[in-house]
Parts: sequence; structure tokens; C-alpha cells
Amino acid sequence: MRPVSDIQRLIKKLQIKSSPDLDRRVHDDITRILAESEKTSLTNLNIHRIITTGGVMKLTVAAAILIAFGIGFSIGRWSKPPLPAPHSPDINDYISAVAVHPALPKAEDSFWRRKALAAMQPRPYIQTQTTKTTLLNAYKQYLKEKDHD
Amino acid sequence: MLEDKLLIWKFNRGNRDVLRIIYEKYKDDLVTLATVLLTDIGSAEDVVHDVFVSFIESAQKFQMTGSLKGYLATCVANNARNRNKANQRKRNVDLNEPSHTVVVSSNPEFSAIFDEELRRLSWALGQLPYEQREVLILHIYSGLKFKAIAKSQEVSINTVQGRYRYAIDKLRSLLNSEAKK
Repeated sequence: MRPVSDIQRLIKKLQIKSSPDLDRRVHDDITRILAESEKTSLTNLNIHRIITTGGVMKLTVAAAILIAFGIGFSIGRWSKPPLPAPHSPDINDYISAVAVHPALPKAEDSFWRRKALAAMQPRPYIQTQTTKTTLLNAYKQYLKEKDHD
Repeated sequence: MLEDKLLIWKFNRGNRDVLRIIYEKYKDDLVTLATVLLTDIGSAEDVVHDVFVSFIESAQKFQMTGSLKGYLATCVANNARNRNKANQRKRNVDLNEPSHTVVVSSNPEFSAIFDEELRRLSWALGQLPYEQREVLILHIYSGLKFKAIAKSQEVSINTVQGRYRYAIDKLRSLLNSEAKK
């Protein structure tokens, strides 16, 4: 009985030489395919060259870059919101007074500054608001006029 | 192995001239593998040619890792399997043709290459079923692991190991019976 190692040795000894015809076919194919791939890469290079040297293309790319830069500048994180404009000279005086006060924070966008500005804002709804006393007086006046009539 | 790694590195870096070196290095091994699988030198050379053409054409699309020899051997085995299936279908359709098992030793062209011992081996290999022959030759000759063969054949590793054991046992008995004669 042959040992397995003997069979393995025999199998490893198997060797068939490839024919010259096969060599020629494969080498021809390698040459052909490499030439085709080089041609394709050259075509791609030419297209790239046309794009980069064309005047219209250059302008388009420049415009696209400028537009992108503008959009980025306008909505970018580095842009700060505009400060609220003061509505009256009194507020300006108050702000200057606040700014020189040593105990208050000096930052322009601080909490206290915003609080002060909000307090200085005109509140038109206060004038239109009717209190309970006003309503009661108006009702009494109405009753008097009614009795008089 | 280092040479293979260098070849793969050059290949992945876009050096296409390395394809000729790869072909020259592995052509004989691949032709032998395909010939044992298909038992026909003409078909085997066609398989090797097809594999190399596909390899060159797809060379720009993938990055190679792992064993170069294993990769090429798997490609040849897959191509040979497809060709074998196509031949079987052709034989089944043609009912007038007498059914026959293609035996390596029956091919005079093939047998003339080897000495007496190897000729007996080639005859015995030809007696094995195709699947067992494929596992045996891929494992011993091409050095593929059972796991890789199982993945290539889309069967479990136990099936591959079983095929290998059956192939070895049958080969031993065939060679012994031939030696007694």
C-alpha cells in the first residue's frame, strides 16, 4: 500500500510545459490590452486638457468657486448676527452709562446689556390695555346717562 | 513568496508589464492543473488563456491581496469546472454518441509526456470523479487550503475533506492494483 506522502510527492512532480502557441497567444493579448488601456488613458488625459484650457470652462469654474465662496461667507458660522439698533437717544445715553459702569460686564452681547435693551423697547400694547377701574367707571357713567334719559 | 508580494505590489501600483512576469512564472503550473482537471491539453490551454485574458482585462479594476498562485489556481479551477459542465451537457444531449469517461491515460498526447510512474498516476487521476480530482489537485498541487476550496466550490468544508479522503483512498487502491499487474 502506497503511503499518502508518496502520492503527494508524485502529484507535485506533475509538470506540463505550456506550448509556444499558448505563449504567443497570451503575450499578443497582453500587448493588445495594454495598448488599448494606454490609448484610453491618453484619451482621458486629452479630455482633461480640453477642459482645463477652454476659456468658457475656466470662466464657469471661476464663477462656481465665487458663488460657493459667497454662499459660504453669508451662511458660514463665522458670521455674527447684526446688533440691534437703538431706537432713541435715551437708550444710547443709557447704553453709554452702562458701558462706563465698572460693575457691569463689558461684553457687547452680554446678558445685562440685552436685558436693558429689551426693557427700553417701546411696548405699544400697554397704551391700548384697559384696566378694571376704567371699565367700571365707564359702566357707571353709562348707567347714569341711562337713568338721566 | 516575497517575490509574489513584490509582484502584487507592482501590480497594484499600476505596473502592467508585471503581467508578463506573472504569466511566465505560473504558466506551467496552471497548464498542468487545467490538464489534470480536464484531461485534455488543448482545452487546458484554452482555459489558461481565458483566465489570463480575464485577469489582464480586470487588472485595472481591483486591488489584489493574498496569494497570487492561489488566486490564479482558483480561477483556472472555476473555468475548468464550467467547461467540464458544458462538455457534460453536450454529451448528454448527443444521445448517439457512446458515453465514455475521459481518462487521462487514454489521451496519448498526455501520457507521452510522463514517465511510467507518472503515467500510472495520471491514469489513476483520470479514474476519479471530477469533484474529488479537483479537491485533490487543488490541495496538493496548488497548495490551496480546504477552506478556500470549499468557498470556491460553494460546499461545506466537511464535504471537501470527505472528497479529499475518498480521492486519496481510491487513488491508493488504483495505484496498488496497477502495480500488482
